[in-house]
Amino acid sequence: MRTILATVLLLMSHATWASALDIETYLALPETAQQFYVLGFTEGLAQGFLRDSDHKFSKRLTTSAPEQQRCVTSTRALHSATLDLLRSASFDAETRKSLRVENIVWFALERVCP
Amino acid sequence: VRASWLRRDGSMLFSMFAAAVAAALTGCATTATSPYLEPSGPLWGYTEDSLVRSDIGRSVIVTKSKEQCERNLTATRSRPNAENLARLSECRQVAFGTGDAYWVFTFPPHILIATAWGSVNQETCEKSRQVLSAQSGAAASPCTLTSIQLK
Repeated sequence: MRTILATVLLLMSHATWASALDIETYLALPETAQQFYVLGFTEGLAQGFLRDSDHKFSKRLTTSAPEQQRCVTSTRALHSATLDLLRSASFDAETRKSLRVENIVWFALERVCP
Repeated sequence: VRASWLRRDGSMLFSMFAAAVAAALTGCATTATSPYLEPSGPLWGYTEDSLVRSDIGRSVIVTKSKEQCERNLTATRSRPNAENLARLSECRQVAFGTGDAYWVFTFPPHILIATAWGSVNQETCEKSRQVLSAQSGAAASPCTLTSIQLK
């Protein structure tokens, strides 16, 4: 749990974009809307519009190895990992309030593409 | 699979949507609004009823083609544990101006993934609109009360 929190906080400080979407708002969306939202990340990475600060994931998309690209742009796996984290991680109330879904998505990417 | 289910029709157009999402996430978003124009012509859609939150209510996702509707439905159904999260209908033809009351916002015409999004709950409509349009930079219409029938 501490590892998860530390990693998420680290990613928060390294995230290359600002976000305003809090966890409760995200979870209050219909399932299809949540799906569309995560899709924005995979498409953004695939199209090169989104880049992580150390280019770990961005670089994978420039590789010719299909399995590397597939890993980063697997919407289903990413969405599943994101939801797992959102629903299972027992953040305290203050931390949960300050977290943003985008930070969780980055952490989910670490899980999907270790 | 690089979201290939979205690319079969108009990958360039979806790229524009993705670009807008990316721009929003990098802090360059604008919250543009377009006027509400009731969708017409052949329309398809499916309903989603949340099984985990009673405050969300029913949503309807409207597209211009049956193929796009099926792709959206397949993607939502493919989520792990999907059957316990929401009850999803089949894709059916949709008509506006008759049927059940929904709060609806519409996407600009170049967005293919969805043409309109409806919710029986005004708050859910506003939240969905905020996340899918205002934050993405895609100029969606305001949530507007209308009626939709799934045939």
